[in-house]
Amino acid sequence: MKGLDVNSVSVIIKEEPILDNVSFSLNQGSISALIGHNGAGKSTVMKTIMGWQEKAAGTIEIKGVEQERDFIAFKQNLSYIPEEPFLLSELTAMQHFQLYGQSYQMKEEVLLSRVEYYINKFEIADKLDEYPESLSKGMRQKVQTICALLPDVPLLLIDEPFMGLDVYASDFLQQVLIDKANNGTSILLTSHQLERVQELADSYIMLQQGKVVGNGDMEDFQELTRRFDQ
Amino acid sequence: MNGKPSTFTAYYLIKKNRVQKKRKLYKLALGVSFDLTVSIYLGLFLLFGAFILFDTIKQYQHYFLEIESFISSNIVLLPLLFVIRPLYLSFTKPGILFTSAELKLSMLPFSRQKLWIYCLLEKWLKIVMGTFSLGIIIGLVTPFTFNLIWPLIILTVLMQLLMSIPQWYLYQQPIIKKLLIIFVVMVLTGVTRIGSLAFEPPYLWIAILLVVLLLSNILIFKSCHTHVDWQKVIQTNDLAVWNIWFVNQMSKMQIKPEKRQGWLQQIVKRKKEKLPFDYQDKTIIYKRLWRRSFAEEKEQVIQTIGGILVLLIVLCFQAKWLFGLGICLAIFIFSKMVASFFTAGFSEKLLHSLPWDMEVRIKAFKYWVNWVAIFLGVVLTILLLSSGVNWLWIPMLILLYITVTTFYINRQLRLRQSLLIKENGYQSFWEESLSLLFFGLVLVSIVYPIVSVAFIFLLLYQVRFKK
Repeated sequence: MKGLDVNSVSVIIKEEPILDNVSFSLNQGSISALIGHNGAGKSTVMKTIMGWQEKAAGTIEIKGVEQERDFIAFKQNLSYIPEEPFLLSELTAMQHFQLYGQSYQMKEEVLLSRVEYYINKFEIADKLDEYPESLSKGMRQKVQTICALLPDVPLLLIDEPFMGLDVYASDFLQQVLIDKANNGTSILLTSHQLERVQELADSYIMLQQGKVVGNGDMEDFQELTRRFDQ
Repeated sequence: MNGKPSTFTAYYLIKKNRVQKKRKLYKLALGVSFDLTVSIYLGLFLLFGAFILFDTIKQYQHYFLEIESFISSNIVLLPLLFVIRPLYLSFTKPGILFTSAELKLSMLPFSRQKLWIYCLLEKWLKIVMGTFSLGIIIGLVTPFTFNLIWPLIILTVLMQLLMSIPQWYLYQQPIIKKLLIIFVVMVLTGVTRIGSLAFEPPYLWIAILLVVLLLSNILIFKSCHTHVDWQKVIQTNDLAVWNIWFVNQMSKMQIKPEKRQGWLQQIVKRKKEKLPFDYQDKTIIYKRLWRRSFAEEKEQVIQTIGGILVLLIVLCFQAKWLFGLGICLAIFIFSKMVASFFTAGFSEKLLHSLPWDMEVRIKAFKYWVNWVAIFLGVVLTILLLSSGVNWLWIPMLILLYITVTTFYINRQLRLRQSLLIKENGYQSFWEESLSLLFFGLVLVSIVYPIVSVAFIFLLLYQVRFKK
């Protein structure tokens, strides 16, 4: 069974096609990079998988659960790390972790042990009772990243995973992602840091003007297409 | 290039472009809402409206003269208002519109202090021109005499000019210091006012106040640029400049206000709220999040509840069937409001991205809804008691209204929920008919209170549905 199956998805915004018949799939336990120039449609793909963006056509499945058929079960199968943290100003870092733990129905002891592990590794153990406003952008990004790493889900979506993280945190995150993939989580990430992506991902999907123009093993990846063919 | 660039020229350029952009936005918004025909009708309507208003004002001339004599005899109290208002506003607004544009200019070779002074002068100019224009229009259109209007204009202008810098200064201060300063100012103002009662003429205290304010302005002027949280200032001011209600309505785009550092919010964020939640009680987090969601939409909440109250109070003293209609409408509006807030609570990106435990979210949501419903229920009971309905029927009527409201809210929530989870819209012809029937019963319930016994049927239906 595929970790993620995106089948003939089209998105139209204000009568303009943003995604045109996009199809790709992720094997269980694979790390795939969604690559493309600015405006190629990477974020729209992410938003559509998350259910924030309505599709004009197509289907999306995670481990056989179709988005349209059982949206709640579908959401239970994925977690997301956004490029810009979107934490709630009413909750402290620890309260965010609790919110994620409850939403993904994690047992309290499992949640606490994972929180303990990640806050030490990301070096934010002293920030648990802080509200997002009193954290630096990098700290907020770490909190957001931990939130998404807490549950065991079949699919992890990551928009620019290393944005705002220091070099130690980036290295640690890279290792966590590899471990997660080894344990069966499929990971779809977008990044402009091609060197790091090439180290991390085992396959790529290249988008241009809202269409998939190439995919394959990461080692066969040669170069990014330009926004317009030259 | 020779010479130093002129700060004023750069400032003027920004202002000119801002005015042009705003004009463009208004033009676009007007284009959406008015065409030539509508504009002609509206113009004629406004013209006739103005004539009617002028005529009406003349008819009530004696009231205006009474108001004038009241204001004249209490004019010495007016400065208090002009002191309190900026003090209150200093919790959320710096008052001087120094925006991100000016801040960016100050990162180029332009003086931040000069730019700030230009913003202050612009504010003063607007106060002077605005107050004089408004005063003169009121003087020409209404029966108020210029004997009252001139002193009012001068007092308003002077007080607003002298409170601009203190408001800016206070905005920058930490909450405790701010509260302390405000307390001292209020006490001193009160003491001066009481002391001034012993002196003749009574205007003496206004003169004292103006002099004290002038001295305070001179004293704090230098500290106006130290310890300023420019980020907070520009966030608030950018919103004040660009959040244009008319344009927002026409474009259907909402500029979301940044979270305000209101005084209540600053005090209420207690240490206790920072502690982790009881993990086993799943509703606690969502109760907090729904409270936040309601607080964000507080204007709509207050407007709707206020509307329902007005509707009930006005119709309660009319014919009996009209009161029934009022209750019917109140239940309908309240349920629709509840359903729309429920959907709005899912718009936050983080909350939308998480898997939804609908049962928990709805339970936490209803916790707040019930408080509002209890408040409206109490008001309705009082109105029923004062409307002449036989008091023996009142408990039954209240039970009918509660069951109908619960039934209709649950139905609305199920509809919204099915849309959120991308299911086909939850439809039931039977429930739709039942809603109509029970709204009908509510409509006639004041005239024929006996229909209220039907609540038992609806209650049993809901219990069965729940099972």
